[in-house]
Parts: sequence; structure tokens; C-alpha cells
Amino acid sequence: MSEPTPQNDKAGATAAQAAPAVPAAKPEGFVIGAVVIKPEQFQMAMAVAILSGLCCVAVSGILTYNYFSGGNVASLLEDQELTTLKHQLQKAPKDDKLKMKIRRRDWELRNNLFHRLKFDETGTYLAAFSFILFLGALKYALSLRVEWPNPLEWGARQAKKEKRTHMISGLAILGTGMLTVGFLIFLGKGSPGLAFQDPELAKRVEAPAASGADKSEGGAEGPGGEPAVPQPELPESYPSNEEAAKHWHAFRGPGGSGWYRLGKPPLEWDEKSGKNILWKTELALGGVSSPALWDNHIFITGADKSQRVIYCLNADNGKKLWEVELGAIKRASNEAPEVFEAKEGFAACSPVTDGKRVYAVFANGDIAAANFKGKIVWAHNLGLPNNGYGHSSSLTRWKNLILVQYDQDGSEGGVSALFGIDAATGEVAWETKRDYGPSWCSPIVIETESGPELITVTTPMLVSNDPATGQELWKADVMAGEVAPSPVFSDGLVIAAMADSGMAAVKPGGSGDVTKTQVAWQIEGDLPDTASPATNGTYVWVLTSDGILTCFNPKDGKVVWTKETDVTGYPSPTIANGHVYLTGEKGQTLIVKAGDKYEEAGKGKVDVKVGASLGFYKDRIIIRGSKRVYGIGVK
Amino acid sequence: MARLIRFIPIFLISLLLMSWIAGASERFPPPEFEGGRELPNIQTPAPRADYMGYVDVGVLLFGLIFASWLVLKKRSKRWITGLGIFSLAYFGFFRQGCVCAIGSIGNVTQAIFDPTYSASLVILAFFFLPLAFTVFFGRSFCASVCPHGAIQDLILIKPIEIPLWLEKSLRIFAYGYLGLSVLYAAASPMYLICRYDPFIPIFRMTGSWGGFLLGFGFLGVGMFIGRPYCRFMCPYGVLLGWLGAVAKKNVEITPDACIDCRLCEHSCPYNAIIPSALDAEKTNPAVEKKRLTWAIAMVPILVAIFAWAGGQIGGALSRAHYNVTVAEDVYLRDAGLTDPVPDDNVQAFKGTGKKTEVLYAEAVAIAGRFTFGSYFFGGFMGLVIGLKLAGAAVRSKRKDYHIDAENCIACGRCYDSCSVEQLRVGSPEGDPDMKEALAAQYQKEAANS
Amino acid sequence: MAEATKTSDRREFLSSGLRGLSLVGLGGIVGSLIASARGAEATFWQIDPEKCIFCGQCATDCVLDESAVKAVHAHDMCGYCDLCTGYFEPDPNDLNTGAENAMCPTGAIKRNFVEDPYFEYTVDEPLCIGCARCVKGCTMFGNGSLFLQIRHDRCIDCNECSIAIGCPADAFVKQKGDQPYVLKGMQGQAHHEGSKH
Repeated sequence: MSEPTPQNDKAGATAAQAAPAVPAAKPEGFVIGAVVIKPEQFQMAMAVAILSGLCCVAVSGILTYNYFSGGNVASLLEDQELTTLKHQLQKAPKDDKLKMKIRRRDWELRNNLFHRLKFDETGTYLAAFSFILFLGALKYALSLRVEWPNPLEWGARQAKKEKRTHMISGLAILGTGMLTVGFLIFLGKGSPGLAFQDPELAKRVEAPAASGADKSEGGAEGPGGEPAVPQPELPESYPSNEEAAKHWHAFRGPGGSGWYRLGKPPLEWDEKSGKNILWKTELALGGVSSPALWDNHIFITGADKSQRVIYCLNADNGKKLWEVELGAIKRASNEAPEVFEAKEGFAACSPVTDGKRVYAVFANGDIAAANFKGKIVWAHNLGLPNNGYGHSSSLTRWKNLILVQYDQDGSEGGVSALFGIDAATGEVAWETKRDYGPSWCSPIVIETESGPELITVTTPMLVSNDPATGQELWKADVMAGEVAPSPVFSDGLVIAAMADSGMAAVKPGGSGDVTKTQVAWQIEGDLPDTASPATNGTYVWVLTSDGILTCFNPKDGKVVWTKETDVTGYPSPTIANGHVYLTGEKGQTLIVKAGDKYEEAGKGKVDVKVGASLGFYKDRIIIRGSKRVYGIGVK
Repeated sequence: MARLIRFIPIFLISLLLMSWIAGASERFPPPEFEGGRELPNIQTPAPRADYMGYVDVGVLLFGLIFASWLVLKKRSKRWITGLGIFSLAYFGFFRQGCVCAIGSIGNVTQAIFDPTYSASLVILAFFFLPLAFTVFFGRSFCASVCPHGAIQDLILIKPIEIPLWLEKSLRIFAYGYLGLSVLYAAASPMYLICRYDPFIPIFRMTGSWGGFLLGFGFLGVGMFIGRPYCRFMCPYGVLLGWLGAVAKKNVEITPDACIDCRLCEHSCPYNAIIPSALDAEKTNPAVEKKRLTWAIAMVPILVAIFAWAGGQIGGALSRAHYNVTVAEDVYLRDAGLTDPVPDDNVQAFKGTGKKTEVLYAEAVAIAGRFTFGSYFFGGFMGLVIGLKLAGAAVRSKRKDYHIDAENCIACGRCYDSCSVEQLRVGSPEGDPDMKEALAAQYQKEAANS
Repeated sequence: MAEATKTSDRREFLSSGLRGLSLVGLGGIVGSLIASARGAEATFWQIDPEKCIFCGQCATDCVLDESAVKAVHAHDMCGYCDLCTGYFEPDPNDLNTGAENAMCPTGAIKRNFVEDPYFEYTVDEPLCIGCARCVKGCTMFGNGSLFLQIRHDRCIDCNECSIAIGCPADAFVKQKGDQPYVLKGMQGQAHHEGSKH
């Protein structure tokens, strides 16, 4: 094959000396081993084969390296650097340097991709060509090397061993068969059954739902301490009002009164000095919706034109537990809604939670439920609302129904509606169409002697419906204008306030138009156009957008005191720890005594704009700035 | 006024027309450009013309006829290889491996089981013609018409002989692959053969990393172990093998009577030569008959065991179906049993607006089909192993070297090794180059001794 | 010798019997399939734009490095908007052609001024990678005039389309050779008309 090296010569010589008789013993005419027919061509072909083989290996190596070093479509689409830069630009929209950076990165990525594709194509052809050359040359070389079969070297005929061969083959086939059966059984028994067919799993799915639910519902209410009569099985259990009242679980807290009765939140904090600021957490998407809490879970919604997200934060340390995007939902229209306040308005409605799931609605009519692990349980779209500033009515819950006030601007009427949506499935349990005008208020559910009532403020009516069926109970013609403050229920009176129409108190329990019969009092004065009243049962406080705070007596509507403050903006006042917390749009909070005269008790300040009302957890306050959330408490 | 009234219907009709054209989704009405404007049309480059499919069938037919002639009459390894290179170039690199006889198993199976699907004539031709030719002329399709076979035959450089017991065991995988392919195509339909074809990425020179790895793996192994895909994987090869075993004509190692010279004994890289039973050990016919009876009696038992075992894996196999995966994902997420990391599948499913009940019902139906089919798959495997065992119990008593008609892929390597053939066409020793080389070798040996 | 002849005769008989049987079986299967297909033509993969949910997998799932799926534009459906939701990212920094505003990752959509206030958008096909970002923007917030199609000059028509396997919306359909596209707009209407006759 090649020039004999000195070593080979020596070896050959020794072999010849040592065993001169061996070749002679061979039968005449037999050539032992391979014969190379055309040595020069053989050498040449081998050289070509080796070179082209090396070339093929090298090119394949480069192509493989390329494959793993990115530069493909997926890496272009998922480039982190570009995403980060674009996020930065959203924060600093005027930064021209940043824009240049984005353009450069974008160009790099595109250039990289298309060059890579071109290079790969050329490389593949090169590799293929060199491989063909390698194979052709090698085959040619091997064809020049002839080796005759020599049966004398093979020993006994195969037929002699046939019996054994067959036996072994049979055993091998049987072995393969047994292995196959073993593998099938292993696969069948070893892999878990299909989730949706697995009875064990179905049990596990039902178990946590049952244990997590409030079990006292039927038993505790058994009359006269008698053993509880077994209740007919409900579709799904839900927390009682008492249970829910332990958590700031919705907009304006339990009962919608804005009154937190449990802890002692601090009276002073300051972001600059860090005083009483326990934690801060940034969110990617903004909004003016208020936080809803259950135990230490804080639920906050955020949205922009195209994304709608529910965030869950840990109230103890502010750590984000999860976030879930609503994703693609079948919608009647994918148009972006008109909203107030550019971006924040896409998430203006506060979520509500029942301890099992959180429910959220967004400005475009998307409504969804997520469980406490961050999985969307159901989601659909209620239709694009038409109400000027964007849908902002928050959700409220009554038993197993999520109640949605969906009042819109419909000149033909019948566009506004109330929905009762099954919390577990998302199915619409009832829908009540109505002819009222648009509203930005949130509904409350009150418990009266005559039964529960769903109170909604709309124009021009204050309306009550049966939360179980949606049937309208009564209405009072006391509202006007673009109503946004939500009603409160205090001392047997439903109180609703609006700058344009004044404040009115209506006795619940009526039927039909009760304007002339059930209105307890009606007054005018400095009243809010956005922020909702807050009440602790003794007094009602209202705060106008330009900072005028008034304390009313809910029994007769008489002004107890009034004071002009510097707290301007839209967040609603809240009552906690014997104080009224007045939060303004600049992030300031003024704290005054909840008493019969004005008395300042403290101040808080965070350095972001605030559009949401406060949330509470233990002795803490949760402040939601548009994209930053604070935990306020004594360290 | 009368003129105006005349216009009203025209106006109404045009309004109707416009609304019909505009459809429901136009939020921003297309503008009326001043002075009109030619709107560019969407370019619609035509796909490969239909008649080109018939050209493919024509090439296939030509290849089959030519290959059969080469294998049975011309008996030339060189020509068989040449035709193989042509087929590799045409069906492999030019047609990029689609349409292909191996993959047509999927289409034909689906056409049988899915009444809404019908396979095109071209695909049916690709499925049928090689099988029909094999019934008459043996597996000449494998020899040089199938691009998969051709590429592996070309790549074989230094064949290593595999012991017969290993060979026979490994061949069972091809039956398993055939069974699974049919099961998947019938129950879902999914074309396993096409999806996991190792050579398609090479023919297309593009594909996934895993695909390339598989392809290069088979080629690398194929340099030393002849045609690993054909022998141990190819599901179409199983069908061809059945028909090859009963073929009217098959490869004859020798053009005349076998002189039992043994020269061809190791010439087949595919273990498809059955050696002469000359001076074989004497067997006791009674023992052999008894063994065979036992083996045949085992067949139903094996079928039953395997069918039972196969039935266990239906659910696991159905997971490969997209709907089943999604149904599981959705179920587990809804039940709060999986990680809340957003899952593309679930997001996409929610986006379709389909009800989960419908999804579950679909998934249950698919899983049911898989379970039903997997009993048959198991039974089929039991049958194969039972019959293979029975086959191993009998020995050929032919006193000549002949091909194993089921496994011979007609590559023609044994022709050149046959001494009778060499007498017919002339020994390579008659070649002047060879004479010279032999003389040199003799001189060297003489010098050594 | 006689024994051997007898054996080989028997073998030959069995073999020809099986051969006949397999031929009849094969002919039966294929014949019945041909009969039921009634001259089925070859079909070609295509995306039904009404079903597509623009998940973006077309860009990465195709066996080709550069997907055979690309965006096309039905100009007669286009609103020629200044703020094109297929061209610009949500909340664009500015309405110009800077990369920071553009949705398309490869700059494959060209924006040209036509007349106040209209802009024309055209797809530069060699640059498009079929990621469907523009389609998503256009369909969700605009007229839906941009949509994805398999380009048959690029598609190699795999027996089992690898994008179709993973398509979450089941949007991949098989089309006959005379109608290999499922278009929107006037061209789509014309096709529908054509298929009725």
C-alpha cells in the first residue's frame, strides 16, 4: 500500500529468517492476503480519500458548532438583549442612545441570521461534495485491492455447526421476545395513566377542593343548636361572609365600605427615608386597580393594550409568587378599548378572591379566574364595552357567583347588563339587560332583613337586584352625571354620592320605583366624582378629586365637619385603626382621626403616582402604585 | 326625481356588495385613493404540478424493470450500483425522499382506517408497484431503486459479519416498527416512518439536530454493518421480505449448478446466504418434527401473552398524539396539579375557544383507539416471534448455497464471488492489470521463501 | 433423489399458492383504495388563515431552516393605517420605521407613504421568516389583511408536515393542486367563487 518503512523491512526480514517454511507449505497457485492491482492509483485514491474525508469532517464540525452557537430563527425571536432594551425604552421613551442601541442589536440579529443561513447552505454543499469525493475515492481504492476468499482458512463448514447455530438463534429470538414483553409491561405499568382518565387523580383533584372550603356553612347555621340538617349538595362550596371578612378580598374591602377592622396599620411611612417601608416590588404592567388579598396572597391586575396579567405577591415579603397572562381568548372583537389615563386604564377594575381562586376583569371585557397556583381556570370575553373612559367597575362575589356590573353607553338601550358568573366554571348563571346609562361604579352586596341585595349605581338610578337571579328589586332616581363613586351601606341605609347629583340615602327592601317612598335623605355639597365614600358605621367620609374632605352623619346626611386638604386624585379613602387614610395621586397619604372633628394623625409618602385604593394585611398597608407595589408596616 | 329613484336599487345593491366583500372584520375601511390605485395581488407560486407525480411513478416503474433485469439476467454488481446511484440522486436528493414506498405505509393505513381520507394514486402506486414486482422478481426494489437502500449500500466499506443469532433477534425490531407505524397511522393518524426517517434530513440537507444525528448514526454504523436500517428497522422491508420469500424468481448465487466451492460463504454482508447442508450433522427427523410441533403450538400462547402485554401500553402510546398531550396538560393545570409555568399548548388551546369537555372527549376517543389497536400490535408481535421460533426449529436441507429469499436484498455481491459465475464471465485473473499484480505478488512470496 | 424432488415440488406448490394469495390480497387492498379514492389527486399543505392563531410555531417547526411559511398581504383588505398594528409594536415609541418601533424581527414589512393619511405595507418575502407577529397584530387589532400562507415555491411537501403536527389550532389543511392557497380578500373570494362552479 505504501513505501515499506525500514521497520517493516526489518520485521519482514526477521520473519523470513525465522519461518522460511511457511510460504512453501501453501498449496501452489494460492495468493495469500490482498493484492493491490495499481499501486500508484491506489495511493493517489487513498490520499484523495483522506484529504476529502478530513475536509468533510472539518466542514461538518463548523456546521455543528454553528448550529449550537445560535444564529437560527429561534434565537432571533427570543433574543433577551433586544427585549430588555425595548423594555428600557418604554421607561425612557426619549432616550435616543437607547434607540440606536436597539437598532444596532436588531441589525446584528438579522445580519447574523441571514448570513448564517447562507453560510450553512454553502457549508452543507461543501460537506456533501467532499463526502462524495471521500466515498468515491475510498471505494475506488478498495476496488484496486483484491482479496480472494480462502475457504481453507475458514475451518469446518458452517453446516457442521448448523444445529448449534439454530439452537442459539431460537434462544435469542425467544430472549428478544421476552425482552419485548417485559418492555411492553414496563411501559404499560410504569408510565402513569392518562390524567383525564385516572380515577386516583380525580379523587386527588376533588380532595383539596373539599378540604379548602369552608365546612361550617351548613352545620353552624343549624337552628337552635340542633344537629345540622344535611344540606343539599352545592355545586361548590364558598367562604361565608364571616370567613371572607377576615381578608381584604375585594375593592373597598369586605362589604365594600372601605373599613378595615382587623389590624393596626402604621400612621407614618416615607419611601425616601425608608421608614416603615417593608418591601417594594416592581411589576411589568401598570394599572389603577386596587389589590385584593387572601391571607398573605396579594392579587393585582396589570394590563396594556395587548396584554392582561394577574400578579400574585406574597404580602409578607413582597416576593412575586406568580403571574399569569390571559393569553388568547375567543373574543367578539379584538379591538383595544378606549380608556382613561392612557395605559393604566387597561387595568382599572379590581379583582376579587374567594380563597380558592382570584377573578379579574379587564377594560376590554376579558374576564378570567386563576387558581392560587397561577393557573387560568377559565377565561372568556364579555364583549367590548362601550363606555368612554373604559370599563372600570370592579368585581364582587356573592356565594358562588361573581357579579359584574357592565353598564355601557347605549343610545338604543339594552346594552347595559349585570352578570352573575359561576365562580367555578365561568359560565354565565344569569344576565340581566337594562336600559341604564354607563357607569364606572363598583357593585356591593348587602344583607338586609328581606334578603341579600346587589346594589349598583348607574345613571340615573340607584338600583337593587337579587344577586341570586339578577331580577331587579327596586330603583331610585337619585343619580346623575358620569357616575364613578361606589355605594356604601351603613346603618340600614344605602348611601351613594356623586358630585353632579348630590348624596342620597335609600332604605333597602322596597320594590319598583322607590324614589318617592324609600329615600331617607338627599343633600348637596362638596362631593366626589370618582373616589368612593368610606364608612365605619358612625360617620361617612367623602373626598373630592381636588382634596375636600367631608365627614357626614349617615343617619340624616348632616355635615359633621369639612376640611380642604392637599390630597388630590382618584384613590378612595379607607378607614383603619380608628383613622381615615386619604391617599392622593402623588403618592402621599394623609391620616386623620376618624372622629367628630378634624385632627391630623400622621402622614405617609411613596414616590410614585398612585391611582389605586389601599389594601390591608395584618398590621400592614399595601399600596399599589402603577407599576410598583409597597408593603407598609412597622419593621 | 325619477332619475334619483332609479338609482336607489343600484345604490342598495352596491351597498350590499360592499358589505359582503368587506366581511365582518374590517375595522378600518380600506381607503378610496384619489385617482384610483392598482393594488398588488398576492403572489401564488404554483406547487409541483400534478403530472410530475406520474413522472415519479414512471421513473419508479423504469427503475423496477431495469433493476429486476439487472439482478436476474445481467447479474452485474456494477450496474446495480449504478442504478442505485441514479435512484439515490433522483428519489433521494432531487425528490428529497418524498414520495417514498416506505412512507406510503402510513398513507395506505390511514386510507384503510379513515374513511374521510383517500391516498392519491401516486402514493398508491409507490406502495403497490415494488410489492408487486417483488412477488415476481424478488427484492430488486431494495437493490437499487430505493434511495434509502442505495445510500446504505454505497456507504458500506468494511462489512463486519454479525452472528446469526444477533441478526435474527435484531430483525424483530423491524416488525415492531412496522406494527407501531401501522398502529399510529390507524389510530391517530401519525406517520412515524416519515417523522423519524433517518435519511430524510440528509436528502434534504436540512432538518433538526436529532434528525441529523440519527441519519449520521445510521450512515456511520452502515460503513461497517451492512444496511442497518434495511435489515433492522425498515417496515416496508418486512412486507417485501414476506413477498420475497414466495417470489416467483429470486437471486441465484450461481448461474448454473452449485459446485459447493464455499467461495460465496462470507460474501454477503447481510447474512442472507444459506450455506449448503452438504456434510451437515445428521438430524433426527422425529426430534425435528417434535420441535417444530412444539414451536407451532407455542404460537397461540405467545400471541395471547403479547396481546395482553400490548394492551397495557395503549394509553402510553396515545400520549404521542397532540390532542392527548394537550388534554392532559389542560386537565392537570385546571386541577392545580402542575407547575403554574405558562404552557404554550394550554394557552393555544384556550385561544381556540374549544370547550374542555370536547377536548377530553376527543382525547378519550383517541386513547381508546390506541388501546384497542395496541392489543393487535401486541398480538402481531407474538405471532412474529412465534413464527420466527418455528422457523428456527427447521433447517434447510438444500445441498447448495442459496439465498435467504426473505432477507436477500439483491445487491449482487455474491455473483462476483461465485467460481461458476467467474467461469462464465471470465475470471478477474484474466485481467492484464491483475496478471501484473499477481506476478508481483508471486515474486514477493518467492523472495520471502 | 425422489424424496428431494417431492419436497421441492411440495415447496414450490406452497410457494406459488402463497404468491397467488398475496397478489390477490395486495390487488384487493390497492384496488379498493383506488376505487374509493376515485382518482384522488395529489394534495398540498396549506394554512387556513381563519383558523390560524398566530402562535409563531411556523417559524421554527418547518423542516427547512427558513420556513416555507411566510406572511402575505391582502391589500384590498388593508386599511392603509398610519398606526398599523401589524407593523408597529403595541405602544410604539414613534410612528416611524425605526427598529425600536417595528414588530417584524427581520424588517420584512416595508412601509411606504401613499397619500395623506395612508401608508402602504408590503411583505418582502425573502426576509420573512413566518413568525406571525405582524399577523397577530393585524388580526387582533386591525383588519386581518396580513396572514400566513405556505409558499409552494419553497415547500417540499413532506408526507407529514412537521408544522402541521404541532399546530395547536389545527389550521393546516390539505388543498387540491388547482387551489393550493387559502387566501383572504378579493383573491380569496374569487377562489371561493371558482370552487363553486
